[in-house]
Amino acid sequence: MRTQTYKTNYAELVALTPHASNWAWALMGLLIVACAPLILGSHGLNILSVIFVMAIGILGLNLLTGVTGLISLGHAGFLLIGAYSQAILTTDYHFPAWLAIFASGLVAALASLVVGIPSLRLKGLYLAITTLAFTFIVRHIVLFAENITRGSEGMAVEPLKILGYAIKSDMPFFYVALIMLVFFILITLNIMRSRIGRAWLAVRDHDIAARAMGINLMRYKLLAFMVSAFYTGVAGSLVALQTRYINVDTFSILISIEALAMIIVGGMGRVHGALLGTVLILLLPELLNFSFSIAGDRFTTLMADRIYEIKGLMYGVVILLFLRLEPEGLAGIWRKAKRFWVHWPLSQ
Amino acid sequence: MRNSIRRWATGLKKTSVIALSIGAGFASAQDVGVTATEILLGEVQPMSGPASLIGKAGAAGSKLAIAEINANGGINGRRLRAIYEDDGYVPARSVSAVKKLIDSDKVFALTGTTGSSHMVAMLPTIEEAKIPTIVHMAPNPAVVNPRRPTVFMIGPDYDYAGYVPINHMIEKMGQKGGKFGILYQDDDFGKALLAGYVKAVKQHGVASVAEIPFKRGAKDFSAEVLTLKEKGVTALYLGTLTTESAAVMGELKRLGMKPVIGTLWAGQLPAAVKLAAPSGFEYLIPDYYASNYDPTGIKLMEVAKKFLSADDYDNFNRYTVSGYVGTIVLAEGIRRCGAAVTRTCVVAELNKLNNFSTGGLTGPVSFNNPKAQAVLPIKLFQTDPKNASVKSVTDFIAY
Repeated sequence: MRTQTYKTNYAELVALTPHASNWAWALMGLLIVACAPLILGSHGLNILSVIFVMAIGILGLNLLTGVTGLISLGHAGFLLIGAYSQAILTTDYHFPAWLAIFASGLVAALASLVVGIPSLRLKGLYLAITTLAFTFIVRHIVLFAENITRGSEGMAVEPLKILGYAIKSDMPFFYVALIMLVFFILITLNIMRSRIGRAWLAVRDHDIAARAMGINLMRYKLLAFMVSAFYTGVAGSLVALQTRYINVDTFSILISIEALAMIIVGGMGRVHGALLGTVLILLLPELLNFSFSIAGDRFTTLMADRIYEIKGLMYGVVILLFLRLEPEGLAGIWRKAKRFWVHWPLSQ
Repeated sequence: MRNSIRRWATGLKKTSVIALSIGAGFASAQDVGVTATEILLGEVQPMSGPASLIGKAGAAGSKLAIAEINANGGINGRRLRAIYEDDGYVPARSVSAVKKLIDSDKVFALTGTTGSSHMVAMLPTIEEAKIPTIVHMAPNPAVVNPRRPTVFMIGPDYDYAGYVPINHMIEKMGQKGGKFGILYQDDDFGKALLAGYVKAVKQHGVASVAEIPFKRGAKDFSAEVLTLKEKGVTALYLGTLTTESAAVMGELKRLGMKPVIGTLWAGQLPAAVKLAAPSGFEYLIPDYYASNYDPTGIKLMEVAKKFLSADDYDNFNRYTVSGYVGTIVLAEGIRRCGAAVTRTCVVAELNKLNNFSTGGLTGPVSFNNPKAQAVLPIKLFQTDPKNASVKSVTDFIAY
């Protein structure tokens, strides 16, 4: 029987995954997902692409809120900054679209200093309100700076071009989003096992104790904000590349709340939790649609105009259920299921 | 032996007849979303979120048209059915919804296309799928400039909404010597209204003393209204939506101003009329659809009572008429194709549509023009704040 926790040397402690077999399973999962275009149509690929893109942003939010313990309701603002940076850089400054993706992340990271610096003195609810205000401010700036952003009219976005090939349809974009997600998962796992990741965990668990241990709170909190905003900025640029049209309506405050729901449901502070939470929350409307379709056409028609209201209710119910029954989220369920499987028949 | 040959020959004959019948069935071509008994349509509407009032009403109009057509035997024996997708008035969700309708639900055509920017976001998908599409709720000029081969738009450009009330104020309401002003949203939509307003004041040589832009989402108009008072405005055009219009009128009343007011078509939504009623202004509203205050619209409401649920009936407003007209126009294109319903045929028939009558709900609809845009005549209405109602002032007039 293998153990999950007993480490005999430092290399095991900082390994990217606890067991070599994890790589094989991950690769198999990746191959299965990569084969999705064989069975899914445009709509299915579109949903998966949305999940991949959002998952990048959620990984970023998880680093800030789940790992470092700094609550943010401002990620819709970072997403918006990323999307508009992508649109402006490619349309007005003729940046290559792939380069603009990372530049958008950098712009969002720089903008995060606006909320990052006050975060040094704020915690909990106060920080949440500050970050929420940041989203309002960003939305208004976009509306007012219409010489740059086209105001409420919105902006068309140049498609991503790779080696001269414009990625306009769903299948190539699906692969781009998948590759980007894998890239950011690997970066996240690397950060988590590094000094930075451990310092963030220490700040979350007890910031005064962390400072006593020599962790520079200012540096690590700002870094958490910047890294998180970078992820979300990149996600925003991918949102822009996917829809190829953006305006402020796409980036409502609700997105920040949905994002928090994803990491709560997935399991705060865990990479696979963030991914599972994103998948579950984004598939909720599709699951609802599917349930309605089973009930028949008349019921589907009746419920068609209530899907987002029901979705809003479902968020609340799902979060409540997880907080009450499984505070560790889907990652906790996954861990318990795995332990049950590994320890069977001795599992309890 | 001879009997068995005869039996074999008879069998062959029967088989051939069946095969030929099946072949003939296939020969009467039909497209995605069309079966022997049904034609499937799709709509993307903002049925939740800030514009749900519009989306629910638009969907109700389409449901009404479909129920009525089906009650009369469908189109050439085929019933219509529609799938409604809610986009929550978010462009990214509009794209996702239209992809679902085209790819998963495999609809034949689209009749509901949500708001202006949302339609712009969906255009690449619609163009790629070459799917017949009727835009009837938000006639954004960008939709038909450049011309998209399968997209048809019902409604005049927004500048008419600015032009018609000002023209009426000058010609019929004694404002030839008046001082004119406009409040407009500082975006493409507002600028189109401003263009119509400017055209009218220039045409009649009257004084425009205040042209004030405001940012989308503005709630407080006290500074703007104070400027209007300082300039002595006697005739005002409000390029505002429901709650904004009520806020401006409330401020005008507070400052003791009594200008003649005109606004755009959203001004006659029952909610807008009720919100603005306490300020007591009898404002002008241009519209290219007969609404629930118009005799033809009221007649449609009686039909709606028969076919719609209580919820849908309660949502009845000008956008219900919009949804109804969009669907019957598409249905006419399908009907003209006979049994062989294909997207190519419907697009070709819609391209030929000329002076199609909607029974008085609009002026005649024609798509046989370079933009495939039915630039409809406009009717003027005026509010009656005492009864929180609206009355017709003119008939449908082409400008």
